[in-house]
Amino acid sequence: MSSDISYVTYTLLAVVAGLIFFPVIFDGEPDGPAMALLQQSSVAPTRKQNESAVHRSRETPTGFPLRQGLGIQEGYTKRKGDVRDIWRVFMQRVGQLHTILGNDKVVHSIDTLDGEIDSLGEYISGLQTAGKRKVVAVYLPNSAENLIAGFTCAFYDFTFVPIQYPAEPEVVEQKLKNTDAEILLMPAACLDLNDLKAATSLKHVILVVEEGSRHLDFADDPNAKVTLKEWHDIAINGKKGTRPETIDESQPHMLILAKNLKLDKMEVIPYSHINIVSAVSAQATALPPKDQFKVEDVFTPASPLADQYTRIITYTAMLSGCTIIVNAVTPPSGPLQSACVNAIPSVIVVPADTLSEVHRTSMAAQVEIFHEWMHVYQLRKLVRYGQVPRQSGFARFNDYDRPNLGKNLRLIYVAENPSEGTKPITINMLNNLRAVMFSKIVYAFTYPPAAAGAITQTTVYDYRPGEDTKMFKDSHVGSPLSCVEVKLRDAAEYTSESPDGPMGEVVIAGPAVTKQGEYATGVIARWRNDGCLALGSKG
Amino acid sequence: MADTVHPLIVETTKIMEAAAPQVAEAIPLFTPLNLILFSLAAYLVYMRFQPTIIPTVAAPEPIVFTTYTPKTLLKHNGTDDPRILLAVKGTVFDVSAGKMFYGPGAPYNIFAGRDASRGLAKGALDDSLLTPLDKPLDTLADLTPEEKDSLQGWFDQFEGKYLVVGELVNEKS
Repeated sequence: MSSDISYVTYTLLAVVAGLIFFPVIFDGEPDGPAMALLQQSSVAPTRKQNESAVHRSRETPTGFPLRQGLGIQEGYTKRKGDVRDIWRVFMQRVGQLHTILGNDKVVHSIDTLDGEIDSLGEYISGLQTAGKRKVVAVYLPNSAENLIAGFTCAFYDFTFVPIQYPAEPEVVEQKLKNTDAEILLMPAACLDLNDLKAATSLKHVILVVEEGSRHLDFADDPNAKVTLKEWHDIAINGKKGTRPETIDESQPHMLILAKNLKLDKMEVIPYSHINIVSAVSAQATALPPKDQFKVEDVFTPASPLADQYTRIITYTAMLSGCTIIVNAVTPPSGPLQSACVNAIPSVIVVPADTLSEVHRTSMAAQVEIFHEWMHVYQLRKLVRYGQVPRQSGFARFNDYDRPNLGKNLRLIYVAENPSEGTKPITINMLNNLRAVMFSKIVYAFTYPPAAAGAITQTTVYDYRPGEDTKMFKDSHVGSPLSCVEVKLRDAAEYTSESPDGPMGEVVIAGPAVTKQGEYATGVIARWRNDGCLALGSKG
Repeated sequence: MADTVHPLIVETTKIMEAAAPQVAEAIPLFTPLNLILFSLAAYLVYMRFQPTIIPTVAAPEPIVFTTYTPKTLLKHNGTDDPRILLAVKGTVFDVSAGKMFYGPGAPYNIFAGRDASRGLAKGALDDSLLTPLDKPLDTLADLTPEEKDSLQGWFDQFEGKYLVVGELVNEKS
């Protein structure tokens, strides 16, 4: 019998022991508990006829109030807060704001910026306007001035109209006209003011001049029909105002121009302070604690700040006291890599179409067989073991064409926006992108006419693959955020009694929603049995 | 010259002949132990590479919010229909979870499938306090303030404990 045990037996023993112990030692922990993905939203136990049950975030189940605001502690009570509190908390937590100019990084003094809020606020308050409430349009690239203009409007109670930069003069003109903006902030010499003739309400223009061109006097134009002033002139020589104690919260803080799918036309949508702060605070708690924004994080909005989702995420980052690095070059007008390469961010927001493009180019660039093998190995790590592949020399060996966004990137925010007709990203595409970018991705569903911020978003560690059929059958946009409740109302052939799960038009309500009561979006969707929303045909 | 080679050959042959029986038989490859270990290894490899099955748990089907009339509510008394419903101030509650109070033979069974408002307000289990089925709904206008308070107390308790599944309206004439 003893002769039975030979080197073959020992080899087999070693193989078996290896197969048992190697996974224990090297597999590691998954990024999140897989069981939590089985039911991702809190479903109401009752529903109305012709409607699905109301789905909510698991943070705020049925019977509990939705997240209303920032919950700022003041003595023994909590108050909802408003947009001003985001800047106050940012200063209190000693957050930093940097600007990338080409290869240089400008570190702003937050106290100086805080002073600029007051000088700009004082200057704008003193301007003569026809309307009772001053409407300030901000046509600026991502910059410290852009953020400061937003907070000035919050502190001095003006209406803030962000306009995406760059845009055609006709687009800017149209937006100014629709919102009756009388004051415009724009970079010097980027637009001919004569192109904005149709915007008859425009009376005052503040020009932001970059440091190298400040010796030129842009404000001196004898033919100008509007008053011109330079930002740096106001910032340096302007008198500092005192901030009003209270602001009128019933008035909109921000006006957004977005396409309403139901009416099929552009609409001016007012966002109140409560809309914005409830969206921000819901966003701040939506991720599990280890993935939330931390003080060490470096956040870069790689998407125009005029986009409401980007701005909400930026405010969320500011609320956590992160380092915010803004770069005037952002997708969709500029390349993604240039927006990030000098900032080395850990968290970014990217437009959905840019991420689709990254997917398209990087997957097509995997031409060698070892590229594919490595990709399959990384996907397996993601899907099977629930871990996002880390950046390493070994992984970087697989150097096909993909954007280099720095070594610290850990989280990408991206949002589908049916109102702008962004291309949907399927769950398998998201998995490919996680493996390509070595980063977690949160994919959200936004509909700017209906609600500030996102309506639903995927769980950050949800890497479950799916069937990529023509209908994107398994693809989904996750579960509702804690500031909205979502249900589906029967529409045409889509009913709540459908065998594939309740289907219908998305109807939302809650503090982040732009009107009182329910808002019917006109977007057709379906509830999966794990409580995630799968978007269907549009319109 | 003597033959020097021959003795050497003899010696060599002797050694070779002596060593030959010492060689062990070939190492047995397919012993039971090896086979067990091999199949265990194969199983472990299979387990590592088998496709993952993503489990799903179906959420309980939500109850449809329904409009009841006294006659359609009546059958939900625990005997004809296992679901026990009762109405308080026009709101229908599903009290199936409180079967020990409202089920057949239980103390409060007279309220099952009926408008319990007046009975709860008066704190009495009396058939005469239930609105007859052919009469319009009880408006509860004649209750004293104490009775109204007591009814509200019951309503709040029901709301905290049971599901609201519908509303009670008058029969359409």
